Amino acid sequence: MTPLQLLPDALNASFKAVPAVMVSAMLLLFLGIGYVFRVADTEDLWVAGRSIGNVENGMAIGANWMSAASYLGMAALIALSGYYGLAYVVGWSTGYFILLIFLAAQMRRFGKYTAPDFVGDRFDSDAARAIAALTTILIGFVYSVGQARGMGLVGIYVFGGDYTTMVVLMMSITVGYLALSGMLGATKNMAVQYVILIVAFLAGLYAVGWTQGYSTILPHIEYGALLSELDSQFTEPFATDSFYLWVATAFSLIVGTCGLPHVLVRFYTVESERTARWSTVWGLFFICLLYWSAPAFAAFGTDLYANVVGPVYGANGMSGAEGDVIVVLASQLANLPEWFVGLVAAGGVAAAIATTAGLFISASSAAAHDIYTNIVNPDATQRQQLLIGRGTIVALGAVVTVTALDPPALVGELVALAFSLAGLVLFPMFFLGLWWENANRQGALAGMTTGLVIWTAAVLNELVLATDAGPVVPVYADVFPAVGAALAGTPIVFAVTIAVSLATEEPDERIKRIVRQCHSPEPMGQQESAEEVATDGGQVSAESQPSSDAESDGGPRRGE
Amino acid sequence: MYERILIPTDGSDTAAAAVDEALDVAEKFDAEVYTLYVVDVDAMDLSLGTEQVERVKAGRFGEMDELEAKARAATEYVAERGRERGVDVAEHFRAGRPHDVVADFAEDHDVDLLVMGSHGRSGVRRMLLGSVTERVLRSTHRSVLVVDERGTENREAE
Amino acid sequence: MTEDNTHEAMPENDTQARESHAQTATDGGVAAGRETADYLDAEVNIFRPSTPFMRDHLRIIWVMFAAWALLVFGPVVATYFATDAMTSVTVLGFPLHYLLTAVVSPTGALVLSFVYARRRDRLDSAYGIDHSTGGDDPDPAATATDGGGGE
Repeated sequence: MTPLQLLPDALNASFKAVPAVMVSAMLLLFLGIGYVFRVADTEDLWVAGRSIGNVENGMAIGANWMSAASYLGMAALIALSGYYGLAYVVGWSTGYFILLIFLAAQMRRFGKYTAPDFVGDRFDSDAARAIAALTTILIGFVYSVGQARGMGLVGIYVFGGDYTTMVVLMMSITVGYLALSGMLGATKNMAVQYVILIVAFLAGLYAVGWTQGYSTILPHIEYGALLSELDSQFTEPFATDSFYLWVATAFSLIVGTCGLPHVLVRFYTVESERTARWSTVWGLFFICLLYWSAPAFAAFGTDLYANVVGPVYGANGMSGAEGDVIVVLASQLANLPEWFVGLVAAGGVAAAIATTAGLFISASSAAAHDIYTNIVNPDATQRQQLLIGRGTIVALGAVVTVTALDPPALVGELVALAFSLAGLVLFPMFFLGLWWENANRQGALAGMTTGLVIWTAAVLNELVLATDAGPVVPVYADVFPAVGAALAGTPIVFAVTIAVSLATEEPDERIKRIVRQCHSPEPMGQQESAEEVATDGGQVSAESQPSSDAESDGGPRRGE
Repeated sequence: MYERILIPTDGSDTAAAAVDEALDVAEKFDAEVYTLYVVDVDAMDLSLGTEQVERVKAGRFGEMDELEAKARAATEYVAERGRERGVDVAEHFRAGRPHDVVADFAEDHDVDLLVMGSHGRSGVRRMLLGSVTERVLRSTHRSVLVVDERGTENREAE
Repeated sequence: MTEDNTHEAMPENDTQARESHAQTATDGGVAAGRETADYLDAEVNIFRPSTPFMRDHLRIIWVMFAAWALLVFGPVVATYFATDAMTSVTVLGFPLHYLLTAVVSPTGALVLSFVYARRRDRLDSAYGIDHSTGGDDPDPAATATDGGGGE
């Protein structure tokens, strides 16, 4: 598939001023609000400042999911792959419940900084930390390629031109956005991002539904009536994709949700476990707002395409590129005013850029903090960390851009690959690390390696080395489909980790106590992490309570 | 002449190079001494992620053990050198962009002299790693004494 | 600050459990050496909960997990085994399998999440755990007023 073929033909490709301005406006708005809420000179680092409530945390969680995959890719998969597309709806939403009951509160109590921190500290191993860090970077890479494809395709609508130019342009804007954000000291404000993007999406949905007579007040339910008019492939189960693939994909996405580094780290920083739990509930609600809507959008789009452009399925049907932009295409085919279509398109582009920016930061922290500072140079200064971080971002930006020029799959599928990696390598470590105190270093190393091998083999088999005839080893692709490798793979990783842990010596008592502290119902002090409480038996030392004896301007600390 | 002296520190050897000279001056002028560690929020954004920055904003730096330990170790070094000479050093902690914060602190506390170390880098290394000292110099109109790291090595040999 | 009602709320009634709960209850969950030590000595193993709190918590978890599995994989499995029935029945215009998968699964997960969070709150108050003080911060103004109510 050469880049030039990636042109969504039905999409009106030309430079449109108003949509272009909207894209810029959205990004500038994100930057502006981030700037307003930036960290100005903080006087006392230990005095409680602005605390973040459950709703806002929930929006931030929702914002994590407002990527090109959810905004564009899901409707695409639902339209193109019919019932199989719903595996993505189910997988990406219901996974949060598993996160809620097994991981959210416990992560809060563990209280570190990054996901590799957890793996490195819990399993007392620099090697484990390194593997986790590299996996984080790999996840960031694969996830971003999906975003880049989305940006590139929708960019064609906004700016015209061809796919290659758009990918390069959009990725440059992304890196520029990050740089500008860094220069301004603007911190991400996820809640605002979420609100803007969901408004753009829902506005598009309601407008298309209303103007085409599909729906009035609740398109999320009203689209049901439309389904019988669509080609049966839209709803027919297991027509092109098997039952196994459906279940495997949904499972992979679910465990992947629980293994994504940038999702988990949010739980380190919430105020209490109760906040962790309720924020997740709110987060799932905000995610559902989008996920109830995507199938409706897909249905509208499919109907419009069939009526206006041509057959949706079959040899001359909707192409992958067109499917990936079905959300914008639907708005265009519904003859909505150009500025409105521009709003929807801008939402897609902004979602992709914001997500990529976040992923790049996640990767940069893995490189700067987890690999460089914790392993290579413990005395690294803040400036050195800054440099490593920036270097990683630039390098990753280049690699993602090049890869995205010839992407091997649809937006949603590319992102699902990242999830399946997370589900195979990191989720087992989080779960076993928190719920079985005897999971040890050797087990973790064996498990992570196994997961990485399974995933890499699946990707090579099905995407990189595959020929037109299909995967290199078809049987492997059947059992371990790249987007759904975790169904068969994660249990294997669990088994390996458990077996190796049982066969080798148990972890130190110190580590066990930390794990126990994560489950202890004793509420932890705001200023404590599980490690602190476990090692000094819960005595809150004077050192972790400086606010009670500090002067307001952070005056002299410890006595002589 | 100098009543209040500020020794910003980031825990590096470069910063440490300035400490002895700063304390010499403090002793001679019988000045009050402050030392300041600034948590670089930009670096933290990229090295730990924005959620951690929010943690600092929410005043929960105490949860961040290693960071707090580094900060305290940096200021403690200065305080220790001061104790050896019988000079009291007040340890302060802030977060933000180092050069801005240092300049603001100097204003707020009416500091007469800032003493900072310089690594004397040049060329590409200077361009990449930059110099907080240089930026402080440009951000403040108070007196700044820049102690070159390489110069102190020679002096110690005497 | 003793909370005797914790005894009635507890299904486990051996004296040891009662004692450790009384300890937990006495100071509103402030982390202090003795109480925390009980939990720090109790092995964490998801299939072998070693404290009453863990047992109760895990009971909630497993029940809800089962409900979740049913909601999430039930529709697709039913669609696989009873394809005709699932696709021919229509509800609100939707073929049944589509409605269950696209609407009921995510919504069900959301409802379950809400129920879980409520149950945990109830479990916490049964054990006298109070998140709002944060355990040891004496200044209530410095923490969220009710452990994170929406702001």
